[in-house]
Order: sequence, then C-alpha cells, then structure tokens
Amino acid sequence: MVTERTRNRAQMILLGAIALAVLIVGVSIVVNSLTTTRTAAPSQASPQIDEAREFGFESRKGTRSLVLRLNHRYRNVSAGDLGTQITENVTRYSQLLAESYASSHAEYVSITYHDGDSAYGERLVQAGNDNLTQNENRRDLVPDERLLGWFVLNVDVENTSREQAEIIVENGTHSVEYRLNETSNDKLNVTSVVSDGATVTGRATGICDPSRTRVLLDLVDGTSFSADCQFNGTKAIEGPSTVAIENGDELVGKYDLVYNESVSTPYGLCSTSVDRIEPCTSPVVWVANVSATFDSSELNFSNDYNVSIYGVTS
Amino acid sequence: MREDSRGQAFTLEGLVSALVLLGALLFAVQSVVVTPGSGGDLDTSTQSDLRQQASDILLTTARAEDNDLSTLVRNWSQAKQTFDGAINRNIGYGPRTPPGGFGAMLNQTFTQRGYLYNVYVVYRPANVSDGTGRVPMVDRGNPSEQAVTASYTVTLYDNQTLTARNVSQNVELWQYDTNATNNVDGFYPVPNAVDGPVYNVVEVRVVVW
Repeated sequence: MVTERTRNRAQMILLGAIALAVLIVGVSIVVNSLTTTRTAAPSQASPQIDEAREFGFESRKGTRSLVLRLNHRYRNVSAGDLGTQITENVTRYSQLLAESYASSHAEYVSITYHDGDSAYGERLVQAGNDNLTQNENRRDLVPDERLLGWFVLNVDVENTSREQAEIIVENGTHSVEYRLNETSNDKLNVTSVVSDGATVTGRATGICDPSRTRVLLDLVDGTSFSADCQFNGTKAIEGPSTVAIENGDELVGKYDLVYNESVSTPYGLCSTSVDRIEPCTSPVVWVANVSATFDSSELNFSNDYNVSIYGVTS
Repeated sequence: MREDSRGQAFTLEGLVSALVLLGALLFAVQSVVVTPGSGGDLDTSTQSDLRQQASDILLTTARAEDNDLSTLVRNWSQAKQTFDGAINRNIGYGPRTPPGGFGAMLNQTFTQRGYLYNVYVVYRPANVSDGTGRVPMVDRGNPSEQAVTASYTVTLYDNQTLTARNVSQNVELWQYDTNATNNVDGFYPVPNAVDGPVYNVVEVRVVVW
C-alpha cells in the first residue's frame, strides 16, 4: 500500500537516479577528453619534425661530400664544366633521396644546386709522381695569402731523400714549417715547427709507416690518412697564408692544394697538354649554394643555404 | 481507486529512474575513446616513446665519431658474406648485439626493458623497376601489430671501402659485385644505384615492438 511516506521515498529514488546519471555523464566526458588529449598530442607532428631535422643535416653533409669528390675527380676541367657536373650529380643524388623518403616516410624531399650563387676557389695540383721541384731553390706554391682548405701530399717514401725538404706555410709573423725526409728504416719523418716570429711555439714529430711505399698526408689537419702519425696542421696558424717549398728536389710525390681565391702564379690551367708531373691549376667550388625542400603532411619548408665545402668560412 | 493510482505513479517513477540510469550508462559506454593500444600490448603513448627512442638512437649514431651508421652499413665481411660478427645473412646479428655504440644503445634501451627489435638496411636498386632491396642487420622475428618504426638515411660513395676487419682497404665499393657467388670481385649486397660519385642512398630502419 502506498502511503505518503513511501511516495516521498519513491521521489527520492527518482532524484537519486537523476543525480547519479548526471555524475556518470560528467565523469565520462572528463575521462574521454583526457584520453583524447593524450593520444592526439605527441603522435602527429613530432616524428616529422625529427625527419625534417634529419633531412636538413644529411642534405648538407651529403652535398658537401658530393661536391668535394667532384672538385677532386677531374684535373682538366673548366669552371663551366665543373658546374654542369655538380648540377647533374646533385640532381641524381636528390632523386635517390626523394625515392628513399617517399618509400619510407611518404614525404617529398629535393635538393637543388645553384651554380650562379656558388663561390669558386682554386686548386693547384701535381697529379704525377715526381720531385716537387727540380732544384733546391725556394718555390712559391701560393704566393699571396689565401685561406687554405685542402693540402694533401702523397709521398713516395722509397724515392724520397734522407735529406730534408721543407714546406713553409706563413701568415704574417706566424708560420708552420714541415720538414720531411725518409728515415733509416724506410719510414717518413714529418717534423712540424710552429713559430711566432723568431719564437718556436710548438713542435711535433710524426714517423709515418708507408703503405705500399707511400704515405698520404693531410697537412691541414696534421695527420696521415691512416692516422698512424700526427703533427701540427696548417690550422695551427689562423687566417690566410702563403705556401712555399724549399729543397723540393729531395721530396718525391704528388700533391693537391685548394685555396679560396685564385692567385697569380707561373702555373697554367690544367689541360690534356699539361704533363701530369707539372703543377697546374683548376677551379673548385669553395662554397656551394643549395636549396633544400621538405614536404610532408604536417610540415613543409624550403631553405636556401651555403655549404662550405672545405669547412673554412671566409 | 485512489490507492491504485498512487501505486501506478510509484511504478512509473521507478521505471523512469531505471531508464535515466540506463541512458546515462549507455552514453558513458558509447563515448569512451577506443585507442589502438586498448586491446593490445602497447598503448599509443608507449608507441610514441619507443619511436622517439629509436629515432634518437639512429640520430646519435649517425653523428658519432666512431662506428657511425655509414661505418656500420659497410661493416660487411667477405669471408662470412654477412655483417662482421653476425650469425648469417638471413638474420644478421639475430640475438647478438650489433657492434659499437649503436648496439649498446639498442640493448640498453630496448632489450633490457623487454622489447624486441629488428634492424634493416634498405637500399635503392640499380634498376628502378627492381624495387627496393633489404638486408637484415638484426632479425629477431616478426614484429607485432603494435610495432613502431624509425629510420635514418645514409649516403654511400663509390670511393668508400668496407669497414669490416680483414677486408682490403684498397677495394672501393663500386668494385664489388652484388652476386654472392662471384668469388672474383667480392660480394656486397648493396648495388651502385647511380652514375657519379654517389654509390647508393640507404635507409637504416629500426622496428621495435
């Protein structure tokens, strides 16, 4: 039997049910919004930012490596031909990168080389194995002060004298002098002396083991390519420098030297008519101007930048 | 008669209460977001973390002084025709840890926390029609549905050499053959994809689950 008391209880049940329903709906909305926020936030843009960063780094590194190789690939090349070679090879490289990114990330990337906006330097090369000079007199390789980007000397240890030859890199009062000779046990002695005026500020001696009678020296970094001997690099003195050689008739090998601007030297442009044992000059790209484009669903950018091929900024 | 009406009102109020409660419950159940990880092992947040960690390992290795990604990709043994120190060409290092900091980071970040991973070297073919090729560096089985992937692109050049122990440093990449049975020129599975100094653009892909 329904009394006034039980009727009040029934209304309380109805009110309680409505309150509970409101609570359930409210809690579900809050939980739902939290879950949605957690799942949506980190998953979309973040990986593409990483991939864009990766592409930016790799495109610079790849372009630098590629242009460096092309600079030193041919001896008899004009600036126009070198520019064409670099444009074609960067295009091929860009296509490979684009295929790789499209298949793995569903992103479009491209790299374009702009020859007109790139800066050229000069390369002095003796491509054939011979004495570095024919007599003991001093010979200027780079008579005017220039930024050195590359100085690789490939020494024929077997035919190099036990008398010292000197290579002198000078920058005003600062200098690095390299004294090279064959040792009594058929190795190559490289002694570097760093001076500030008349004061010697550094000295290092490396005894380099030849590989098949040859030693490949990187004079800019001050090491052999097999890293078995170290000495002072030309980086020990800062700024533009001149390069000269004395007693070059004691040293046999070949060399490749790159600096940022052409100089007036007695050496002519390299061509097929110039003997490989004669030093000659050819153009190199010192700074390459490149556009990089990255295009994905969440992130797009196009960037023009200059790549310093030898890591030296003017 | 009056008491009957009150009884019917009481019944109706009870029914309305039940319907209100059921409606609220139905709304709550229907509105719950069903995430991909709700029914599996990895939730979305964990997947995102694993992808980021794999990506960081690749980035760190790519920029390392020693044993960078390029060195690891060229760490190919001529004697075993697989990566140097690996088990075989089908599973690469398999249960073993890859060399260098790369292997140490993968081991510390994933293996020690109970995750599995595969590492593949994906290369461009010499002929575009051949499609991409893949060399397993580490194969630990089939990834689960919740597996995540991170990758890094590495450029190889013609005049680079293999980096495995006991491999001649006078033989450049372009001189190798992609035919495993050619014992004359040596074997390296990644082909020369284009003319010019670039040899191939390979992708080092890490799959974690």
